[in-house]
Amino acid sequence: MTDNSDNITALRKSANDNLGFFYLLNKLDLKSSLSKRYLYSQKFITDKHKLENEFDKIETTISFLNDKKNDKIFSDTENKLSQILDINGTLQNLANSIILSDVELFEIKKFAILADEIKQLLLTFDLIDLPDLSEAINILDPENTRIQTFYIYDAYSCELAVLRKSVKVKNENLSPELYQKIIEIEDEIRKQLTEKLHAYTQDLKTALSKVAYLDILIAKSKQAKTEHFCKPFIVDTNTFYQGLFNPQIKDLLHAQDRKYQHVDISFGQYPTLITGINMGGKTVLLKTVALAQYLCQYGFYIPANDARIALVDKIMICMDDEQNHLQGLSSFAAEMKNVNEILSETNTNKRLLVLIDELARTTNPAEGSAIVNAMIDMLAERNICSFITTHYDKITSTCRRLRVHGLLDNITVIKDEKKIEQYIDYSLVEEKTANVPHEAIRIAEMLGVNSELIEKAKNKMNDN
Amino acid sequence: MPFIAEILKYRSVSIVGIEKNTGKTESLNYILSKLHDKNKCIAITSIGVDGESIDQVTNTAKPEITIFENMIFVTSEKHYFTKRLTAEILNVSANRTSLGRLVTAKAKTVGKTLLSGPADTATLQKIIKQNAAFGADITIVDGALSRMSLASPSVTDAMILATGAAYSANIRQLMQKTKFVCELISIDAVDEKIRTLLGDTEKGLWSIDSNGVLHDLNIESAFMLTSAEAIKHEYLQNCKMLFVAGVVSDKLLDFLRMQGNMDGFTLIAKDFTKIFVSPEIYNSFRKKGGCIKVLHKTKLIAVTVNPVSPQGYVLDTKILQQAMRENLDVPVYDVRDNQ
Repeated sequence: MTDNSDNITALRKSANDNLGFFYLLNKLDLKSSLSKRYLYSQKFITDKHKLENEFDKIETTISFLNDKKNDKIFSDTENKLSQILDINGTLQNLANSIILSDVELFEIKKFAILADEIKQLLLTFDLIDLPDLSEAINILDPENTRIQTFYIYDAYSCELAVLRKSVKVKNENLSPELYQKIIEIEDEIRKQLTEKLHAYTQDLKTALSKVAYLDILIAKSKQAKTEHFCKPFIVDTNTFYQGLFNPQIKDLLHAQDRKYQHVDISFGQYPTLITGINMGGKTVLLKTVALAQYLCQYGFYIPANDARIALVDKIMICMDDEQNHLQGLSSFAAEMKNVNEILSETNTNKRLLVLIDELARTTNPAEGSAIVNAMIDMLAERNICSFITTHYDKITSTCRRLRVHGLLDNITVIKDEKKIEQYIDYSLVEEKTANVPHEAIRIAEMLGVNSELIEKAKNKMNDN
Repeated sequence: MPFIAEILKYRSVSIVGIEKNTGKTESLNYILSKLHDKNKCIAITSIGVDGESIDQVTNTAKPEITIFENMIFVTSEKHYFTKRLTAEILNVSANRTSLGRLVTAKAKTVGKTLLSGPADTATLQKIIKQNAAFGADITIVDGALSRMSLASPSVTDAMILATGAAYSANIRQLMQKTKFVCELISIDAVDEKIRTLLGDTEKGLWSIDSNGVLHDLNIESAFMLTSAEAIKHEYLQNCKMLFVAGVVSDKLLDFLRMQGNMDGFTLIAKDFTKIFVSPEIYNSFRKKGGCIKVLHKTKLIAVTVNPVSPQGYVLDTKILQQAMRENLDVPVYDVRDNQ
């Protein structure tokens, strides 16, 4: 378990990298090699207005994409974006007034021209506000050709032009003195160019990050459009999803010609206990709830038909993950350590989303269910928006309960356990009692497990 | 010289030396000066590793190439900054070589520069394409024949081989070595179907069965082909076509020959630069019925000879050229003699 992290890079390094979030990021069709660095430095946003503004931008972009007559502008923009390289290092040198080389001056000129062309292309669309770089371009384009090439032009110095002409006339026999003289003049020009450009450092940096932002915005919008994601509405208390799905798992199932069932779920500032048969998709549900919250607060559309989302300051997930085993902790010890972290966070004023998969599953049911009950009580007292999944009976604490609907009624035998989803209804139903489904033996029987074992297990159940 | 007209028929030509100091740079400078007169837009680059290792290991300077006005050249950042000419930068690559990014520039004046280029074949192909987009009629590649080089000059449409006294002061020996390299260059290419099948396979040993199905032998390189293990291998036993993505060595040919009947067996190398075998072993492999083909074949336009060795002795260029012409199927020139 880890908390949600400040930015996407930190999230990737955390244990929460298996929610399906990075699957979506990797599928983003980014055009510029520059944009990935910007994408990964995006911050987890807790400010409602910032997010709403971002979702509006995506909405505008999608409507712009949907209009056929913009296709040309759009593909031209993408073409320009694909030519933009990350010149952050060069801009850093410029900021530090290090005299720039021809290659660096070329990089700045090429970038500035491309950024300017993108600005012109998108002039009539309210997508980004790029700074005016024409002054910076003029410095590097003394012949006013607007072509993306660069050298120390003759136009920078009459003396240089004369010397070069004399070299051309004499052809190959460039004397060391003449060569030295040319070098000196060129160095002086580079110094002057760097000094002049220095004033535009901030504009160039702003343009670089805005261009990256534009690339990411277009990629996000295209993804939202093709994957049928929805624009989330930010609400104050109760989160509600209609037709929520996990794109990674959906793609995985579709690739195997299998079906994925979307689910509806709502929750508020209280614990929700989730029960349901094995293979009922409880873990996937938790992951998907976490995924949707991350997507929302990193400014993405949501994989659902409808999403009304209450913002949180921190997402805390406790799932069985291999990292703990690698650290040499027993699963129980690792889990208890995580639970402890969660509880200490509940004492702060942060808005939390807590997701715990099968709390205390690795210990005996008597103590395990006691721990679950205690945890529910504490989360309820503190009004924590939280989910706990369990198979345990005797969870008597007062809380809201949801059950995965479970096996379809008319199923008696599971012929194809590799396509288990055709026997299960994954929708969630409100459960009023503390009972958990007793279907483990039934499922084992349907799976064709050793009949003697099944019979004996049934008898044992009756004995109790 | 007639082969200048021949060069202009191709979009890319590499110049490859049989050995160091066989006059490759001289050939290159000669060709560039002649092409310059033809009023064509010429681009030039080099294959990276060769020059770099020389620079860094023996610390001898790599010879500079004379670039003429309006010529496009591609070199690494490090060498770009030491150029002695004025040039307009057209592009800077996103990827780095060990000597920095690759700078593509157009000469505004005549002058000299060091050339260093892409270190891998895919980038070389990209550069050739890029140069064409910048208006180059032809890209000349300063090539290398080296185990060290990942980039193969055989991706160019045509090739010029530079040979000379640096390899041997014995004309007969020099001729035989040159003849053998020419023979390797002229190895037939596989047919289109097999080329498509093998595609961009970068490493390993692969067999193709009689149904045209590709099997990975899970042997990383031919050097790991130890007899006991490999003979047992189900595919190798009945394999009629073996593709080696890496180097084809004497050891591999020996091993294959010793397995018995080679009739109908074809060994496929990536291109001739990957074949490092001695003529004797190559011939006995062929005599046993073994056939060698390459995935990529390039056309040999001409052989240039340099009668001067770095040690100072000079061969009689007339006799040298004569010996070469009698034994080779391609035009032979001494670029100095013809200047």
